[in-house]
Amino acid sequence: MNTESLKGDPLARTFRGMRIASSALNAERVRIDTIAKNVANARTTRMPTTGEPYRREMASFRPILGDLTDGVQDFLGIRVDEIVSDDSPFEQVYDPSHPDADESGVVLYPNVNTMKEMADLVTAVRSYEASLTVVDTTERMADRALRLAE
Amino acid sequence: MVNGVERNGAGRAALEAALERMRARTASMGESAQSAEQTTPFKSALATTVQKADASIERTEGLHLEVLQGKLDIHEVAAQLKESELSFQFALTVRNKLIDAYREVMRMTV
Repeated sequence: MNTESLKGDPLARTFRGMRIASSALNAERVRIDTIAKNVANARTTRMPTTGEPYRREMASFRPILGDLTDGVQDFLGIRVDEIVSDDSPFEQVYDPSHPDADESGVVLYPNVNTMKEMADLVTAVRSYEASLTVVDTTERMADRALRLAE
Repeated sequence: MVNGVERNGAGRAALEAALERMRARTASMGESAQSAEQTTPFKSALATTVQKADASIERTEGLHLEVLQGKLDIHEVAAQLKESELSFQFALTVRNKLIDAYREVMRMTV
């Protein structure tokens, strides 16, 4: 629904804010999913694909742009552009009894900092709530405007 | 379910019936061809809006299924439902206004 152009739909202008906010809800949901993945994998020392510890992931957003209307490109919302890996170094812990320890007894743990993930989660949830408020407010605005005609 | 979706069929039928009655009445009153010409853009715009509202409501019905199949997020459906409901409320408000105007004219003493 977010990729629709504003042309041809008579009520599109009314619902524009709602559609943009809805796309932001989608994007924030993916961001929260990524954080969930990071937190869940905070102690994963060996990924089946790479053999390395889990690498922290981040979601990056980009705008969805539509057709040109009156020389200006429509902004239709945002979406997740890509999930990028965090290249910061892994955490090194000395634990010779660990099955994934190297010859010198050092185990590499993922570059996930749970505190940081929690802080990210708070901002993501607040952004989600903010977009929900936008949807709610847009609806109330349209509803109140309609009541003018009664 | 949202009342807009629930009342979809009844509301739309009532709106169309009201429009049809008004068309018949204005025709029988011998309205001039020129003024009929003038009302056409509004009429077609209204028809488009009603169709769009109707399409939006129909799309919403399909969305429930998509959520249950795990293809969509709930907030997306919730927003779409609100959109359909408002589209319907808009069509309903226009219909009520039309009927009010019609009653006003009928009450006029000749």
